[in-house]
Amino acid sequence: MLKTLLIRLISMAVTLVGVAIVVFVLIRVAPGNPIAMMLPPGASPQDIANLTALYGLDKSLFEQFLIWAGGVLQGDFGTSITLKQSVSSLVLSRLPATLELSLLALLIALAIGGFTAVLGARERGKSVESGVDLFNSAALSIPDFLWGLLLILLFGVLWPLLHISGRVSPQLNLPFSTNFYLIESIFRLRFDLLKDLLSHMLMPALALALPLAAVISQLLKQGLKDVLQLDYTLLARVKGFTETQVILREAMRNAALPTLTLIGVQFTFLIGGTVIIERLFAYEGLGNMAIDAVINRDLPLIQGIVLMFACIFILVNLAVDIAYTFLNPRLRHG
Amino acid sequence: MTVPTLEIQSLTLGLKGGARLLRDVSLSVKPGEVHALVGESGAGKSMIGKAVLGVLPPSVQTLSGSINLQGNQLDALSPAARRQAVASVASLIPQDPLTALNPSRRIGPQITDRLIKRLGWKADDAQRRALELLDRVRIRDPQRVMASYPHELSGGMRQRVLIAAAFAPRPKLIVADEPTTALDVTVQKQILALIRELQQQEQTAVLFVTHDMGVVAKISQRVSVLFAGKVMESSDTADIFSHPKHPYTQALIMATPRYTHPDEALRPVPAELIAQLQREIAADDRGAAHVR
Amino acid sequence: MADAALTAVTQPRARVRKPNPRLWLSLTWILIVVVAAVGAQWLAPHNPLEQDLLLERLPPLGFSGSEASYILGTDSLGRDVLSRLIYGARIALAVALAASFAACLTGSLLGLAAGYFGGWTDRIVSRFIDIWMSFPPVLFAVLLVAVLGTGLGSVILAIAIIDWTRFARVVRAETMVQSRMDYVYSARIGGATRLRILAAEVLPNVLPTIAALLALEMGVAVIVEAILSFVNLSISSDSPTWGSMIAEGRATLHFAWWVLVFPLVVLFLTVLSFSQLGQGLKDQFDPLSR
Repeated sequence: MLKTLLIRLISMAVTLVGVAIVVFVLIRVAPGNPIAMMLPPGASPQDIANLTALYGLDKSLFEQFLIWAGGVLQGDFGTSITLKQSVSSLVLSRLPATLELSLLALLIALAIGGFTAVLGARERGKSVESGVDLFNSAALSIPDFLWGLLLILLFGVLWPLLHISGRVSPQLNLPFSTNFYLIESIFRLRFDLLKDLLSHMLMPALALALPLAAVISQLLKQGLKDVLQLDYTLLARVKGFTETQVILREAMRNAALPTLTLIGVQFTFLIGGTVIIERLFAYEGLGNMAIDAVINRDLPLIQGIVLMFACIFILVNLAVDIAYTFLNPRLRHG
Repeated sequence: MTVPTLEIQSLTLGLKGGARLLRDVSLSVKPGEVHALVGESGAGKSMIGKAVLGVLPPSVQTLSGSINLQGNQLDALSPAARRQAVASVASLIPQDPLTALNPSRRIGPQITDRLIKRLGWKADDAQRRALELLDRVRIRDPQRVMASYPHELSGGMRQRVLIAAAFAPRPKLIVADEPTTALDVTVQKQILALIRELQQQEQTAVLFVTHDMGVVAKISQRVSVLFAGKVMESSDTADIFSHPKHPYTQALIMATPRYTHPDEALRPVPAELIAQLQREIAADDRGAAHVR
Repeated sequence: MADAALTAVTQPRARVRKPNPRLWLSLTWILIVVVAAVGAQWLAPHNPLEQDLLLERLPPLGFSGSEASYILGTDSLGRDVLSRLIYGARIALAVALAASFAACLTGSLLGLAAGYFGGWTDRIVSRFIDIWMSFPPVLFAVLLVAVLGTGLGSVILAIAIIDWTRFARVVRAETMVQSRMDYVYSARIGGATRLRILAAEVLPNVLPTIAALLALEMGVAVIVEAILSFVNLSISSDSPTWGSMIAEGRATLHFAWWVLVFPLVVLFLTVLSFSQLGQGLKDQFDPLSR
């Protein structure tokens, strides 16, 4: 057990190194000189040369990589060229926003997907199930970007109930000590702030959630339907449990497990979607910062953000594998 | 006259496509009595059990007839009321112990859940009853089994667990759907004996579905012989072996292999008899259709 | 293999299907887009680049203030929305076809090689896939376009570079399944070289899956291009794209909703059609090949 974990960790590390190399090479091959962009026009070649040396951009590719890698192993991810702060502090400051958005989206996806799956399984063979299938097919075909635009139209213009921009209303005074606004607002029982945060986060989270909800719904519904044909569900009905009780109590735990791995993979896609969704909704998270960083050729910042995303993906996959082993009674008891 | 535990009258079931599954089936089971339903595969015996318990597949319709369980006219009840009426007095011993237990749940809750959640028992009472029954079905370490998962038990043990679970709520009627078919021959005898023992102790009526006349002889007081969804003959078990009236019954008895005579040739049910019976049934169906 | 399970399980269990209305509707819409792209010069009522500040922000027909020749209204520079939509179809279609074929070719070849030859080939390709899939796709696209520079070619190349993994994964899984089948063994016994078997025996059986994925990929390509032009990283000229129209529409949402709505609807229908086409093809082939 421990051995497999170790092998996994090494594999993860190799992948991360691969990611780092790819980003490093790509970014330095890019045209456009960030230094020149930083200085006012008419700057002397000496100024340019000085600044270039300061950021170590005059050394060879290999040397630059080693310097950077060395720094990373000590926890130093360099300094952002455009924002003039340490990359690690910038990334960590924006990370909570993106994490909260992703997790909120995951919760919404699980709720919608789970509900429609149970509904479709309970009413299997009837028109309700066809309705669920139709909804799922549509939600699967439409990417989060389009859902986001649709939601902006519906709830930003047609029925302006929710905010279509930003993470929180600017005029509010925020008494938080971390950047986990949502979580803190719950702990501090500041439900007024919670309401404001949610009204900003609901639409981007929904846009991210809908495709995942469809995947969950389809998979879970099929799994439930398969299980509902087995004898132990028949026995449960004889015992007097309603169809819904049979689904939730007997079928769910057997149907849910196989869907777990797939949901994990799809969740990483969801997190990837935050890049454009945050941009669309002007949400101050990691993804939004990433796009600006690329446009401005901010090498160190781009590297830091990409590595952070890669880390998150790898950790999510690991978590899913651990959860699967833990939840499967056959694997647990040998 | 004692009120029968189960009274089925003229039950006719069919598929939505038109095929008939049960034709005008009538039978009655007295309290504490074991009534066997015997016939070949596809004869409709399982269907009767499912109809009584209210778990027919959605494609099967009740075309006519009534079922009366413990004084409740089941077809007159709403689905929810019916479910309640059945669950409080009836149980099922299913055929396949492999698929009849939830692999993700421990044994204990699978026995006690209906007692606590549907019948309102206290958790302690339910626990005690479960342990008591596990002991009575000759399981050696009831506490450990209660905490185990199904895949940790052998097939024979699983079937005992299912029997214990069936008797736990003190039902008035148990439908036993070929409970020994999926088991080794050596285990079959023990299981049959267990069921009979418990049934006598608890005075539970049993509707025992089987294809084996040998089992019928060992366990039942009354027997109904089924062919193509129709009751061919219905009588006391003792009589049916000594004086079988219907040719099909005779053929079935003849077809039962006698393990004491291993060299004896098998005598399957004659094909001409089957063809004749099918013709008669088809004619009856057409006649009944006319009447509608 | 988890990926084969992915393709098998996320589809509703297919019964033998007659081509259903969704498939026909999807094909119809795609045809419309093709016609618009090919015949833009003749179909567009106005020059898509022509600005007329006197006619800015005209609403579509049926609303007060509209003009007859500007059926879907104009944007904030007085350009005809309908004409821009029609010309935008050109970019969308070009990207859809070129990028998806490029991704398909690369990914399928690598997937076939990895699935069939196994061993180190498989390990290297799989590792690459893992690394690639650790990048958020949109970020990767933005990054690549920054590297390659803006322009149609860059966008196509970027999409191909990112999305080859979609094909590689599934084709690899499919190939592995097929490679274990009896007809491959009998071909080996018959003396055929491995390459020959791959081309002549395995490939034809994997082709249906590839075709279905290709249709899906076209939808993805259209969306990625739209996202790229939304963040101003697509083509550099003034040639209208649906994505840039949406970006503009987002900014002027409250006073000219039509500038956002129409390109959104068009994009919606296009992506939906490709996706339904892909799903439909998958269902069509599923019961036959298994």
